[in-house]
Amino acid sequence: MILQDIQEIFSQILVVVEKILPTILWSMSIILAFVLPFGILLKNTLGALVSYFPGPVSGLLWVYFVVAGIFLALGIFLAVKYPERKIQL
Amino acid sequence: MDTKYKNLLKGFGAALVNVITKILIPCYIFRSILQDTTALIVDLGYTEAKVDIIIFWIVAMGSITASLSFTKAASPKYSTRKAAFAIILIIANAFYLYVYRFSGAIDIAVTLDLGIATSTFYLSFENMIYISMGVIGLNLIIGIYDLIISYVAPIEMELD
Repeated sequence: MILQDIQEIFSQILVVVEKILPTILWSMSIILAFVLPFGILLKNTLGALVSYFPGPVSGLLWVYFVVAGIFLALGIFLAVKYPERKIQL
Repeated sequence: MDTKYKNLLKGFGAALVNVITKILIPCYIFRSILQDTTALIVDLGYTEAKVDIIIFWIVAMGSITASLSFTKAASPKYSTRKAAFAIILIIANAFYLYVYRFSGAIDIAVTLDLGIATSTFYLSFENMIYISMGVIGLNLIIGIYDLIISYVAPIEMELD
């Protein structure tokens, strides 16, 4: 009886594994095929760009604040001047 | 409420969330690590100079992402403006994530001092950063797709 119960439990587990295994394999293959190479490419590109940014030694933190301020001012201006879409739905 | 003020409110909300999650909490964590080094038996290898560099990059890139998230959230729904700022925000987020690696925040040398024995091991989260970058890259593709859609096939034309 106990053996039969165990066998039943295992068969149920196998059914669940059978259902989720393709999903897991698909997601893993997508990560390996696209996400990881894409990430490495993006990292290398950003690495080349970041080296031109003013670093902590230069003490130019205000440059980043100025850029942030420009985006903030642009956002406030656009939100006040054009609060709606051009054509309404 | 006027749409103008609603947009501004949404923008400031998004910026506030960004400031808390991307500047204040990381800064607090790194500062608290530095304060408790004497009390801990685990030394994470963070020196004051290293933490200063990390905080510099976090504040610098965090402020830019916060202002960009304001601009994105303050834009009307399905507008070209929103799609364009979403792409810029994704790029800024990628930079923000990269500076974690660049500043040395993810290269951790853990020294465990138990009195009778001392051991050091190194933790590197580079692969995690690569996967996160990959996800950001995929988001970038979706953002570009949204922008193209807003130009080529705007929703209002389909509904008219």
